[in-house]
Amino acid sequence: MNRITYLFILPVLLATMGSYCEVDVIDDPGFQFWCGETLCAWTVEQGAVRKVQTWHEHDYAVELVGSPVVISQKAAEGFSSCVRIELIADVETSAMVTVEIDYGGDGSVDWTSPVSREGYRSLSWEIRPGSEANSDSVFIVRKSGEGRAVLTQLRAYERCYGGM
Amino acid sequence: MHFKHILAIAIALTCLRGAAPVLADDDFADGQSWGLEFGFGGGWTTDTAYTRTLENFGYVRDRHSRYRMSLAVEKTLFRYFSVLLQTNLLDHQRWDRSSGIGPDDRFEWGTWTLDVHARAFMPTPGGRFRGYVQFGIGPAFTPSRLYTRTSAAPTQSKYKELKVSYNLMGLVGGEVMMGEHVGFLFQGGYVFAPSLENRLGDRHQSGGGLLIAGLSGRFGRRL
Repeated sequence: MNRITYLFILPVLLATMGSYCEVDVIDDPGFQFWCGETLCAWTVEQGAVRKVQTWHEHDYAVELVGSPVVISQKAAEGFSSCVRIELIADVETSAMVTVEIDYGGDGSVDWTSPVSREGYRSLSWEIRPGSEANSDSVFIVRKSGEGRAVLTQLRAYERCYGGM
Repeated sequence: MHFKHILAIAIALTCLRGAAPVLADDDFADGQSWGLEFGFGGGWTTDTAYTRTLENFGYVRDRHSRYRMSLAVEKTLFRYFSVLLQTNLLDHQRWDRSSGIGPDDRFEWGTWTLDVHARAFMPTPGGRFRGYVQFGIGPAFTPSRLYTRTSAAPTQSKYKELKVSYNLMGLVGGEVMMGEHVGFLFQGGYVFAPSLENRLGDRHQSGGGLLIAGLSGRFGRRL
């Protein structure tokens, strides 16, 4: 086949393989689901959290109150390939907040990154965890300082191509 | 107020009204005093602190309608002056945010105005064409809707709000009569319409520039 033939075949192949999609590995990334005074999808392991309103009275976020505070969630899916993590937060540096991942849920933190974003700004990472990041992996948000820390979104997703 | 003052005002108004028939041939649209105008066109609204905050919270603009509509009823009071009751469709936007699970969050709004305008116009000899400037003020209505999930239930909740604010509008335009009762109009200008305000104190401006073309109908008693 010559180059011209490939130019015709390539779009057809891409079309038949399906479209781009994203598979979320965290439930309630927007901290919108509240069961009374606590989050439904996240576990408060230490400290206290509070529901706060953000730009709209019905758009919620979670405030990590006091120190120390630890919230966590077991991954809804395994994520062995490239994972993008997006955080939107209003966090003072003195709050000393970190986002952590425990691959495989064995109790050891395998990936961590500090968060310092005042004024509801976004922050993102792309990580390639490898085969150890199965569906037992745990996402953790830890606050060690007294500063203000409000999280409005913590989303983690794998990119995929439907039909492949 | 003395009787002579009232008499002076009455005489002045009579003179003003009475001057029109003398030059009736040059009156716009043969002096028909009522008009109905419908216009359709486009406008541009800039990004604001309000829309930048939506972006900060993970929203992405899905739809930003740039079409504008205008409907007005005009009453000519004097030879070069009229008042209008005018409604304009302004900014209409829709923003989406991935909820990570289930349907995306959605926030949308549209703004429309209801104004009283004062129009000063100048017809050409023969009264077939006129140019004008007008200024309007009135309320601006901005209904907004937020669709989001606030519980583990799969259905979204819908939260509706109506923001009532004000707007100021300045327009220049022209109108040419294509027949005894039907004309073609075009107008452009700027609208200042502060509308939505979020809990962080950011305000949106639903106005901006606009360009409109349309049709008009003239009828009613000759001046």
